[in-house]
Amino acid sequence: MHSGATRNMPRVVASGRLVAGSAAVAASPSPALGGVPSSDAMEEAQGAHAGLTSDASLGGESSHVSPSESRRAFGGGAGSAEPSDSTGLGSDQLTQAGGVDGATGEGAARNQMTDFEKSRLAKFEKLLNTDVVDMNALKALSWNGVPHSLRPTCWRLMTGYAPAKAVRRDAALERKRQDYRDYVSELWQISDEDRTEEERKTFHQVLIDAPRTAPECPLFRDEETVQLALRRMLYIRAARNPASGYVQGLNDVATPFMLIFYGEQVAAAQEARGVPHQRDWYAGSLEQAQATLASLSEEALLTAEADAYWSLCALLDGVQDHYTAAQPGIQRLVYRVRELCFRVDAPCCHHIEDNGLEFLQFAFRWANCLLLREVPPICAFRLFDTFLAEGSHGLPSFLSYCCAALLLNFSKQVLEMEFQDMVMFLQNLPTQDWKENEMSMLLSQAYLFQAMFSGAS
Amino acid sequence: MGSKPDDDYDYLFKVVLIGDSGVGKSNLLSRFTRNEFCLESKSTIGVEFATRSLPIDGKTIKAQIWDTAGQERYRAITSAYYRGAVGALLVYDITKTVTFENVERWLKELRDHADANIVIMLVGNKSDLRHLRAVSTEEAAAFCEKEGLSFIETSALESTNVELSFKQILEEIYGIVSKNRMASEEGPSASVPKGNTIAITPGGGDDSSSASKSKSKCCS
Repeated sequence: MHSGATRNMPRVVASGRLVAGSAAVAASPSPALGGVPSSDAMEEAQGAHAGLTSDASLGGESSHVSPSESRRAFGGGAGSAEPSDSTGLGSDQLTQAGGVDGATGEGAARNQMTDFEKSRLAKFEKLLNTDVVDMNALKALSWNGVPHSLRPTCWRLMTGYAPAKAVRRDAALERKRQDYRDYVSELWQISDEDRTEEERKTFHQVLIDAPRTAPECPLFRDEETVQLALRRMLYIRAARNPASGYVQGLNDVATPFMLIFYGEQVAAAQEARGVPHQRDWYAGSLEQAQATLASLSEEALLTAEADAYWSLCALLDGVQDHYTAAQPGIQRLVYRVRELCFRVDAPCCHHIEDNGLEFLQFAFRWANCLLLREVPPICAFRLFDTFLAEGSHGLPSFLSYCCAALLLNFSKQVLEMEFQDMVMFLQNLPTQDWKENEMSMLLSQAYLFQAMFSGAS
Repeated sequence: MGSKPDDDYDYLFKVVLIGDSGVGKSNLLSRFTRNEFCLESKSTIGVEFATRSLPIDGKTIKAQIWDTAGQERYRAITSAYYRGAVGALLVYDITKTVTFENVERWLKELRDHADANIVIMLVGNKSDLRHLRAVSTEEAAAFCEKEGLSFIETSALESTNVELSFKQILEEIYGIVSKNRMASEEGPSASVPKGNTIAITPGGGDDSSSASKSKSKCCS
């Protein structure tokens, strides 16, 4: 993948941006930044993200990295970030095409959309309403974020869980959902004696971890439905993939899928009753979340759970050895992150290691939880849009670019810290109030690293 | 180094928190370092770090505490952190027998990966759950006597004995270090550069400082 991007690599090197690293990438805007591109031009540039618009250059690619955004995302940190439209670029339009915060019903939400969002949504709909979805086009478009209402559909397609061929889709999904129901009765609803010792350990571990999953999100405080579903999914996946089994942190990885697929059922039920759907329906009180869940049928709940399960499995397919004994995949990934960071920002890396801090000490969790511990749900969705567009087999390498981008995003702060402050800072990054915009910036930076270094290391 | 006042210390001791998943290691740490407790705190992934300074015997002792993930899958990662540690709080849950039974396996982990002279304290946490107690104080105390470990029961939730447990292990380490120091004025504790931990064996400082100073050991 990314042949287009790789071909552009010499341009990046030739411009000297490579040498000076991320700051330079941001600070030396390409000519494309001079003007305000039209929506269509933007789309073209974004297509380049997935390397599928072969003639889109990195110059075009940079066009959505506006100078003001770049400064705050790469230099000053995100803490003080205020969305700025001063460039006229409409950064929010670019990165929040996925949704209108707190949308009040799909129709109303559509009315609140900008022209850009509408045209983007239309592009998705056009792609999806075909007999055979063009998966390359869908991934290229999704790389930059999927409109929130279309996430369930797009995610199912990109994971390969739903077939691209429309006529086959319903039957295939029904079969997979039935498979999951069978797993529940064959693997979950059995007595303890029928489990292997390893399975008993897993059973016990997910029992401990389910209640401490996403504690900041009230929906996950619901034991009867949500925590039970989470335990079942994690347990069944482990039972069916004994080599990797369940590793703490996979519960975090399951959460975006659960929020999206429960959300789909909630939206459908609300629409049927004529109740406006809130995009952040899961963020209210526990009582509200439970009332919402109670309005769903058993079947709807199980459908959401099965969809989340299969999507989780598909995503993890590409990172199996991240969770096997001694976690070799993660060790390798962290090694690659270190290497990348040294190439981009050696002073920062030397500073880190001269202080006695090892990359594994902070990047392990990033890799193990696919960055989900570091960002709020709204960013997790955006992150998964891109992960799924990359495909499960592109995930380990793309994740390493993301981790490098995350660290170097804060290199200025890190350079001013000594060991202790540095560890604590890197283990509690000020990313919890990030919005989709910051997430998109990080992904763009990761994309640039990928374009520069893929195949080179 | 331009240290802030609270960065000043006489001794820096590296301590690890180990034990089964869900016994309350992270909450003991957050209670000790930030006086916080969270009933539904997230599981620890890999290793997490916190620090706090305490006065002992007129000296400022800074504890650098590494809180490890309890799940077995993480052992390969977490055991790397035992190196250079001068103390270990081995935590079990007084309401879960299995977490106490696993203490022997954790001791083996320490024997395999940590400094032979590491000071170990067994901590029976969740003492607030009196009605659910499954491991008696006597049994645990007898075990510790046999194994030569210090022992304490704590409740991170009620903030019982948490401060004391850390204080005791730090005092014990300090006792050994200052004895070593008297025995050998040239010992490693005579002049400890910041950022390095102290070894508790005379002349053993090399190992611990290399542990915290080592470079490019991502895959070690």
